[in-house]
Amino acid sequence: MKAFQSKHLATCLTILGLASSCSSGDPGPKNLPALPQSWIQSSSQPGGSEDKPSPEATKSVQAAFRVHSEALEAGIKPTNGALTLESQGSVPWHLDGMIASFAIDVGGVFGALVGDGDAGVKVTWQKRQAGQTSQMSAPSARKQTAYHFRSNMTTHDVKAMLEPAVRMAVATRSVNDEASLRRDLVAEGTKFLTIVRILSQVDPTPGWHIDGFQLGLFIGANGQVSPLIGTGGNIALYFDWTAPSSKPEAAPLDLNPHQTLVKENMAAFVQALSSLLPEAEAESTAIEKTGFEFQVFQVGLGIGVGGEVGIASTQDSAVGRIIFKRDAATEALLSLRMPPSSRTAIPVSIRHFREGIRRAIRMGAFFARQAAAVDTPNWKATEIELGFDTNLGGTLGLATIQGVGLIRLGFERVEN
Amino acid sequence: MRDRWILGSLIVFLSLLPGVDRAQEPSEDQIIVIGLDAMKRSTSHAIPASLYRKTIVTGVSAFNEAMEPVLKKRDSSQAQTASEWKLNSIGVGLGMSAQIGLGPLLNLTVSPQLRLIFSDSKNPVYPN
Repeated sequence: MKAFQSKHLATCLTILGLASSCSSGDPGPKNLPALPQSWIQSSSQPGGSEDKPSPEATKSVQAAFRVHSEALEAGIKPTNGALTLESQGSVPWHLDGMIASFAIDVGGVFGALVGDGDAGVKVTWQKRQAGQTSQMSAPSARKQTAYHFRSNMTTHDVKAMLEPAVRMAVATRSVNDEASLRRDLVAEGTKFLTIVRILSQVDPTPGWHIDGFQLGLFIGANGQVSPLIGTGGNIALYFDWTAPSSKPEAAPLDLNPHQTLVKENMAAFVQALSSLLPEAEAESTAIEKTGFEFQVFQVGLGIGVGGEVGIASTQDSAVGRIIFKRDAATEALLSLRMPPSSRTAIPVSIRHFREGIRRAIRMGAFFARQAAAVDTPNWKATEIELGFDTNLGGTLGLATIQGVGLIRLGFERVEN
Repeated sequence: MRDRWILGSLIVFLSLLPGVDRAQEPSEDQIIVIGLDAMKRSTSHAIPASLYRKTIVTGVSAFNEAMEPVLKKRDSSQAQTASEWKLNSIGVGLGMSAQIGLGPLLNLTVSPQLRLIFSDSKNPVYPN
């Protein structure tokens, strides 16, 4: 009898062990807590209870945010009041902030992004005695390789402004065809100027304004110019237009019939889009309890061959991105970024897009709550940027790691 | 003999079960990292938060100690420049990595995606 019991006990243990190995032996991420699938798949439907993250997923987001804040606390000494103004309004050089990147995989698992590095060094120059601005995605941020457009420029001005870029590229001996580069770059610049001139005359909804328009460009070895699609390549430069604080007197636009159509469509697009932003603010009360505020909205602009204007949805050939900014500025902000996509503009269903933005803000509120919960004495999270993918019709879903958008969280030093 | 075999099996199974679970369900002291594998597919793993934190602390403090003297020296050598523009902030992509063994067949290189912003302004404009 005893031998019989022992044999059965051994058999049961074997079965239990095998079953357990099969269920948990898979090293894949399926057992990791995930955000709701409805957050990943583009959807225009209002979320139900299944739209809320599980307690486990919430904990994993908070843990990922907290570990960065704690690392700053442990690695950097507090200033102890040492950041006093010196000559010319400067303070001593110091580590002012850190931007950490996070990702969401296709299964909805959220985590700290690891892998190939971000761009090496980026510098910002600021005018002496400049006014107060502080944000990591500052649309007006000056880049070393940025070419700044004004709406009253002429094509000749653009050509003259871009000539140093052509000479620089040729001097690096990384471009074979100088004539092709000059022709393509001026063509892109002229197209950018046309859009800038149109945008400068569009009136968005009160409470929000167009803060800028940007386009990243890549110069290939044969001098061909194409929109920036990421790191790599020989030379990257940016076209940048920052909307003036006061609207200049409208300059007459010399537009052909196609450009006139684009202008009309763009005005309708911008006004429709910007009219949704104040509506979406109704959702932002949940964010404001965390100290964050929905303040920046960036969208990739696509222009179709027939003159239609809409959201572009892959990064490689958009004509640029429009940056909308809320009129009132606060310190902590939530930035929603729509990645650009193809030259074929995606027609936007206003109804879908309206609900999409509301859902996006609700997702932003979730991340803002987790960020607000992990403040440490000398560092605090002050800015969240979320990337969203656009689907046909204008529905939205969080961009996954295989898309172009990621989540960035900015930490700033709290001066003590 | 049979009892020894049963006891041995029990020890092996009990040691295996919690080990696998710990690796996949992040506890309070673990965080999830996401990266792309060699085939450019996303891969996610829970790793010890202490190791990730240590990697960042080491990188951030070393960078900070290296950068601040250089920037202060630059200021003293270029004081009173006539230009109306001044260098306001520098964003440095932090490169660091740590190997984490997740089992006999899998090693993960953890390279956090961080950018540090140095500034001499109380209201800096961060590089985009």
